[in-house]
Amino acid sequence: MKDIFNIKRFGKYFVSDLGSAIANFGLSLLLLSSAGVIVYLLMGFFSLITSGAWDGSGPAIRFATLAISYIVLMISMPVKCYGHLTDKRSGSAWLMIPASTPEKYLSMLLITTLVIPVIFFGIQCGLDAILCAIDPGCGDSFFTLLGTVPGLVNEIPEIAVADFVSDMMRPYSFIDDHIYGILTFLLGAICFKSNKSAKTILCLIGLSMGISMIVSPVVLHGMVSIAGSLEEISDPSVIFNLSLFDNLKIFDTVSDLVITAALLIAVYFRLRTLKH
Amino acid sequence: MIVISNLGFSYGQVPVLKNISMKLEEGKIYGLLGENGVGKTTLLTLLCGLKKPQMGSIDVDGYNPYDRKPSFLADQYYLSDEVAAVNMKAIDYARNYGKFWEKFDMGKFLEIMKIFENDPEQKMNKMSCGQLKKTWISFALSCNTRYIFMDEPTNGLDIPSKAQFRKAVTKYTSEDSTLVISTHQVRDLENIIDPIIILDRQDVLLNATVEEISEKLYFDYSNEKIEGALYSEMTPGGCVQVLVNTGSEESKVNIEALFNTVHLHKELVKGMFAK
Repeated sequence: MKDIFNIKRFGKYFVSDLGSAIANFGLSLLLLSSAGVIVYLLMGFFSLITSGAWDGSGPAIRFATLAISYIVLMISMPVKCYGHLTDKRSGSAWLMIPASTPEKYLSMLLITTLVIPVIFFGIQCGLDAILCAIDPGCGDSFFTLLGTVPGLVNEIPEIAVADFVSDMMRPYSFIDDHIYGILTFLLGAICFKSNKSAKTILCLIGLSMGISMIVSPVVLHGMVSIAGSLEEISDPSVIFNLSLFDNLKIFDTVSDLVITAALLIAVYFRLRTLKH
Repeated sequence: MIVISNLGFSYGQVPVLKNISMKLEEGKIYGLLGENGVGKTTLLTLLCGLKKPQMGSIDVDGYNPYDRKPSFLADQYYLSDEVAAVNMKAIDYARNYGKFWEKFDMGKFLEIMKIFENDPEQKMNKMSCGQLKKTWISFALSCNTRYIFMDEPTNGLDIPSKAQFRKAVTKYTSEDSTLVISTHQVRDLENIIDPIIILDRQDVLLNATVEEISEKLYFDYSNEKIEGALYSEMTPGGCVQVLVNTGSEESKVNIEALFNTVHLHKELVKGMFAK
């Protein structure tokens, strides 16, 4: 049992692993976390030069910056932190560290899906709050905006009449997307030897196309058979009120769980069978 | 003790190790020699668990290396021929990762770094190839493990560093530790390796101590050409000839000459040293 999981050894390993992740990705993390402030300052200076008045970025631009920098983080962080495992030199040294595969795996998951994203969002939202406190022209901070999202969802008419749409737009529903987004790029980082992010994106595109080619005709056929005709289903309000969509929330949850579980197993299996 | 039984490994369709069997006893510094491509690095990576044997088995004190159990990993260290330039100061790396090896000694690490005239405060990714190698050698020896596997440790070291390496290995390796050093630079390690293993393509040609070798082979350094010598080579200082030792005479083993003799007379030497 001691050779499978030892909490004391895991603690030691986690601290070392975190230190290594920060050494490899710390500067990039700081830069990405400050993207909102950087964009705000750039826009402010630009407006100062062109119009003579300070006008930093508003909530929409800052939110877009947050989203873009998060996507960059999701793509680049696993490669920077763990991409070296496929390299003979670094990978051999990593494999020879006396900790078990479950310990290394859990540490890797905690760092990539929890610790680094929490630091990223913490710094982004913290800096944004400071910015909004200093400059009232910024509008609402992310913290304030986050509180209004559920209300906004309820105000979306027509297309969002079905429960699953409004539920899927609530902030907590993005947690699973976040986890499997990170896991996908983590798997790419420890599987591909070069061009890790590009190859992962290409694989995702390929997989999406393949799955769409198989699933789309089946779904379309089901919708037509329930609605009666192809014309009927061209109206979104009709589509989302079809009985076919009653269980879509469950389908969405189950499919997310299956994808996440498959990725978790694939990452573990890859770590277990890594050779140099 | 390491017991290798009928070990086989191939890269795709290319067999590298075939039916290899041998025992490595504790407390010895094995020199693993062989031509390019005979599988020295492959054997070392199999011994430390970086690769999985495709045939046969390896038993290291009851462990299967490929299981990579922490208790096994904590008692061995593998130093690759190409070492990683970690984005950390050498001392930080030692502090950060040394704690995983129970017997790791920070004092020893700093002492060996000093012998190598290496700065522990320097970032590893800013070091030259030789400095980096010396840092990893220092770390490997400071872990105080029972087994240390080194692949070409003197590659990239300058002339003084090679002497420093010999000093560090002899001074800082505990008596019950087993070192397996793969090398082409036999002269760098001539006085520290014993026994000597010579690998051939898919075979072990020799696994014998220096004493056993000098009992069975005689190394003549005179300038006279001797009839019946198994191997002879002109050197700037004279001549080295290898003969079958019929009269139990003592001589200093010349590893390069031994290596060439073994390759010229594979079956004869294998027969002589068969246990």
